[in-house]
Amino acid sequence: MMDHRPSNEINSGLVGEEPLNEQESPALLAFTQELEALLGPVPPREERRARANRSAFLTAAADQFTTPVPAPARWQGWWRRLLLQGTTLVLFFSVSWMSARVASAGSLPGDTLYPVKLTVEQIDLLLYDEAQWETQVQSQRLSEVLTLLQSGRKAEVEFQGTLQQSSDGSWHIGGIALDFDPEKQILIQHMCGPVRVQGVVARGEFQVLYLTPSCLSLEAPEHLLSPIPTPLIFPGRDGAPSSEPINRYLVS
Amino acid sequence: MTSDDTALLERARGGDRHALAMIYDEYSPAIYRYLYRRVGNTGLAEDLTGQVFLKLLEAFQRDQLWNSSFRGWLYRIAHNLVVDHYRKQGDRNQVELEETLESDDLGPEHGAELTIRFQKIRGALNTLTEEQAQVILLRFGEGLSNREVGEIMARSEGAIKALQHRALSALRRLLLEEEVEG
Repeated sequence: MMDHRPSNEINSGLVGEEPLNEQESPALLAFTQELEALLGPVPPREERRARANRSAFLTAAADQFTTPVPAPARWQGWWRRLLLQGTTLVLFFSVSWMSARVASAGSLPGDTLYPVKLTVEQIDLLLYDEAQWETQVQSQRLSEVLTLLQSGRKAEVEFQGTLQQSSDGSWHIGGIALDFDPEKQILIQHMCGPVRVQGVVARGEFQVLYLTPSCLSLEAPEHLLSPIPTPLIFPGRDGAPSSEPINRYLVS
Repeated sequence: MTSDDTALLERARGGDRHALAMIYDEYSPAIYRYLYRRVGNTGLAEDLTGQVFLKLLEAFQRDQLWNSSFRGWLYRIAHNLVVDHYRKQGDRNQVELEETLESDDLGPEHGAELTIRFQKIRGALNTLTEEQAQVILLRFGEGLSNREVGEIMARSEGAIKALQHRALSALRRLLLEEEVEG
């Protein structure tokens, strides 16, 4: 910047270590004033060239600094990257989750995607009310068995429902007819609560392998306490709540 | 150099475009003026100004540090470029002044007189030693103090005073001789 101090102030340091003689001093002081007047004004910079020079400097700087990130921006950049990666992950899992859900929704026991469907249901259990979830899942299992029966495909299935006896004496769970050995009839009659059914669907027929009742009625005959397989402990038989596993009855 | 300048330089050294632009805008006008007074041609002064700042980028790349005066370093680079320019040109005394000095207070005749006088001074300046020419331009062209010129030229204030005295005496004598010859 130009210094506009008075000449005599600037020239106060003129003499320095070499004293001027008396004749030379006033002449030199006058000369310095003339110099200031002559050296002071400078023609203005040509705007176009000055701008071009500035651009060239900044372009060269940009080329030189391949990663021109100042310290604060570097810190911000770290958070931006983290946020971007987080968002990408969330998006990825959301899309994957939705795709798996849609793709496996129509799968049946024995299909490749069926385990995915069961996993999706387990995750749903974390999001929804348990009773509502249980009802939906059991309804879904029954629906799958009916579809398999209609299609004639073969698959192992497992579902749960309440045993009901028709007027003709046949037994059903959720609309699916079950065929039992007459010897097991007495056992079936004493089952209570929801019954878990495991079996095989093949050629449009359902073959029951195991029935697992929630409880047996108090009036059940004593010999039913030792059916196949043994040992058997019937939860709720003595009227008290029990955490023992539910027993299975081999029916065929 | 203030702490703000130091921080600005550090940011520029890291490649911060905004800081680099600020440095260019703050220092290039003074460097241009200095160079114009040395070479007397606006185009050449502009070219050399550009080169000074490209040298600055090279210094950043070499991780060069400025322990004393950053501004002084810029003037030194400008001075070296002028010396190189005249060395390449071969004739240091060649006067390149193209423009007429402009002033609202001066008539065209007086302006022409000033221009001729400035040409003579520039011619005479170019016959001084580089150090003498530099001290005259920094003291009377840029209006810097002895201390500031000392920082730029890496000399003590006393040495600058002595150098300035010798430079003024020599310059005045050269001009007087020229007038007598003319």
